[in-house]
Amino acid sequence: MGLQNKDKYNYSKGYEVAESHWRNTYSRVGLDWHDKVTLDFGCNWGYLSLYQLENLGVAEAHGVDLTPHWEKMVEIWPNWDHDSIQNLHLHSGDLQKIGSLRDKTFDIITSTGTLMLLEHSHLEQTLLWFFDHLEPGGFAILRTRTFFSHIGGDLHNLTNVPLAHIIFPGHVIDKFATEKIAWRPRGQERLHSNGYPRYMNPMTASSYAMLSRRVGFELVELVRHDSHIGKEEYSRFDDKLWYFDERDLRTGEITLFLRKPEVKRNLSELEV
Amino acid sequence: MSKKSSNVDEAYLQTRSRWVSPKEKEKQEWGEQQAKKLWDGLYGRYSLKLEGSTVLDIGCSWGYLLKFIGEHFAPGKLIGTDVNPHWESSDHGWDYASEGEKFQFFASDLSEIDQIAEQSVDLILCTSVLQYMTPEKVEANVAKAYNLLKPGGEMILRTRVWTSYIGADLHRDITLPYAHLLYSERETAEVLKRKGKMTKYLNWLTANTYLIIFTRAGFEILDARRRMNNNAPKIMERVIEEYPWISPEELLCSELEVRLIRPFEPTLVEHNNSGSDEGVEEVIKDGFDEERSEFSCIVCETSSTDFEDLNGVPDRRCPECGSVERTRGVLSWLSSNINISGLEVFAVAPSGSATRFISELEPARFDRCDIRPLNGFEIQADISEMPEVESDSYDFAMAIKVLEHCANDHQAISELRRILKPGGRLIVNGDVRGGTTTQEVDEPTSYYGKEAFEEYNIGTFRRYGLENLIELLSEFFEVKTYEVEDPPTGYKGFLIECLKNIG
Repeated sequence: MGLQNKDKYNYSKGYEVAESHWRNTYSRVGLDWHDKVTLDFGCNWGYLSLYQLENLGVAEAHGVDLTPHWEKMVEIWPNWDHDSIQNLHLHSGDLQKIGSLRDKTFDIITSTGTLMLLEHSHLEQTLLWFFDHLEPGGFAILRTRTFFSHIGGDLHNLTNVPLAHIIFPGHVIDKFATEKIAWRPRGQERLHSNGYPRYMNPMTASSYAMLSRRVGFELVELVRHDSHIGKEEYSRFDDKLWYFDERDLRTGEITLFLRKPEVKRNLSELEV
Repeated sequence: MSKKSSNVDEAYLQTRSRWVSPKEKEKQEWGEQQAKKLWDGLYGRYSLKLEGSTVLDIGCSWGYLLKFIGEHFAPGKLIGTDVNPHWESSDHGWDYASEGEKFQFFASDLSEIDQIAEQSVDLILCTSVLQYMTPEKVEANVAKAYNLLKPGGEMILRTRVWTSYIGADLHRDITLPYAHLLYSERETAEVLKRKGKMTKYLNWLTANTYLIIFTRAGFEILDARRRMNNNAPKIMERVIEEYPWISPEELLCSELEVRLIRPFEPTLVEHNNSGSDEGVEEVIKDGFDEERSEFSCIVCETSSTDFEDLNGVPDRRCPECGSVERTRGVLSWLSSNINISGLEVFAVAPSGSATRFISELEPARFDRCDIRPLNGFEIQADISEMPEVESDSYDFAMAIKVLEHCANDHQAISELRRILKPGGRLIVNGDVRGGTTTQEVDEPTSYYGKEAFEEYNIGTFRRYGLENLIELLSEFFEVKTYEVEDPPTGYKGFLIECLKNIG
């Protein structure tokens, strides 16, 4: 799922991925997207937002990403002019600091493959921002890798050993990566070490559920996606894995279907 | 989703009336009882070697556990840390100062203490404090604990987890157990505010997340036990109904007790289930899949998927900086092994991309030398005879694909040695092949052309065999050989690091 680097700025490939996201994730909850105002968090060049406008009849589609990938698209596709696409609004920067979104509210917020890259407090603040900027009754549909993903930290670029980021401590991975492979990682993706892997927060399916509830969402559904690791691999590294809850351990990705309550809840039960 | 009646179990309500108040916890009697309970119920479970050991208690309160250990065992040193200096209060009646230097206390978060030497602690204890830290602070404290422990040292801890029936410390002010799992933080804060109470911060970490944090810090987990909620079964049922997607093992965990060890040899030895020692390198590199790799140029971070074909070799040249495989391999080694910043550097005929890379590392001086008058190069000289370059004047020199093009390589190496300071280093790389001897080239004009050969006496004079080149360099330096590589092209080459001895 998601675009590999060389496909990133390819219009048809982006459309393909958006359609796959729709089919596999966003269509599941049976929402009416027509005339809605949407936000895609970690939107890359905006392919999902564009798909929503062209195929789902949304009224306004917003996308936000730290890096303005849509500007890179212009270099490759001179006819790509996102500014001229009506009702498509793409914003770059830290979500909390984008002035144009400060007072904006949305009916549906989506996110694919981004939340796992956020540090703890930033993750909590982001989910709180989603909650505060959703209309009452609005939905957040969030798909993210968990720490137990077989490609946690993107180590699949270095090794076929699954869960290498759990089986070996971070400084061992770093030492191996820098000595044997001796490559810098791309961009500013490492927050905690000087080598691989890319930072991933240590969240599991269960802790995402807890955090979502903590910030105020109703948890409508939590879909667990298998880690794609065979039983024999788990057995092979059993001495490093036995203490984890098995259900979370075998969940490499989740989709959270969250709803902001329509009305303020009765808290009398807590007053006692 | 349905909500059952909030009829709280009677047994739970009776339990609440027996809770100890925070004020009572400051007293000696409570502390001594608590220390014994903790020892019998948790720490004493393990056969710990305490005699002569340095023991640290994170979140030690007034030090009751350390006092207990000091009275019952013969530890060498006892260290307590807590963000509040409870030991300074007189309520507990213990004069720790009268024990001399055996006890030491720090009123600080552990992660911010510099006065404790790394790898100086044998045992770290931690009872029910991690839940009060932000997740970032948990990670920082666990990482600090790892660093303070000697290899083989242990950390034993108990922590509440978010799924505890008192996961948010609301139990004294809100009757409903598991309130934080049934309502949001803002909702419970609103109710507390109406009651004139503050919301205490507790993190949302679950048992699995704590375990991930411990392993990520480098610890091995020797023992991990989940203590399960057994309070208020009626409300527990509501929680289970609210979270049908979470397994009971995780959802109903109240506390986690873990015994961790800092491994003896974390960088080398990992064992697999077959019981054999399998080095990390062997386990990881077996799985390397070049087809799925995606790297960036070490000079300019252009993705390797954008590299251009060059001279029939696919994905060879970086379109942005012009680097090719040899340069990238060498510079990758350089970035991991030499700190160029502040050094005086001499480079023989460096490529444009190597120039860019070195310059960005901010050397104190960077002189590029070629025998031809190249634009921008600082020195034009024949490196086999360059009296204009002072002796003992550079910290570091590079001769990448150079020596094979020097008519008199022996003299060139001697000169490169001369201009290096004692302790300085030279790196050499080129068309060097293992398992063969150095071969002289019949037609030396093949690389630089006839004109360059006639005017400057440069060409391709030989192709080095690795052993012969090492032997040659060893006449002047202490040498060490490395393999460098460039994954996008599959290039592998040798790099020889040469050290000019001091004295």
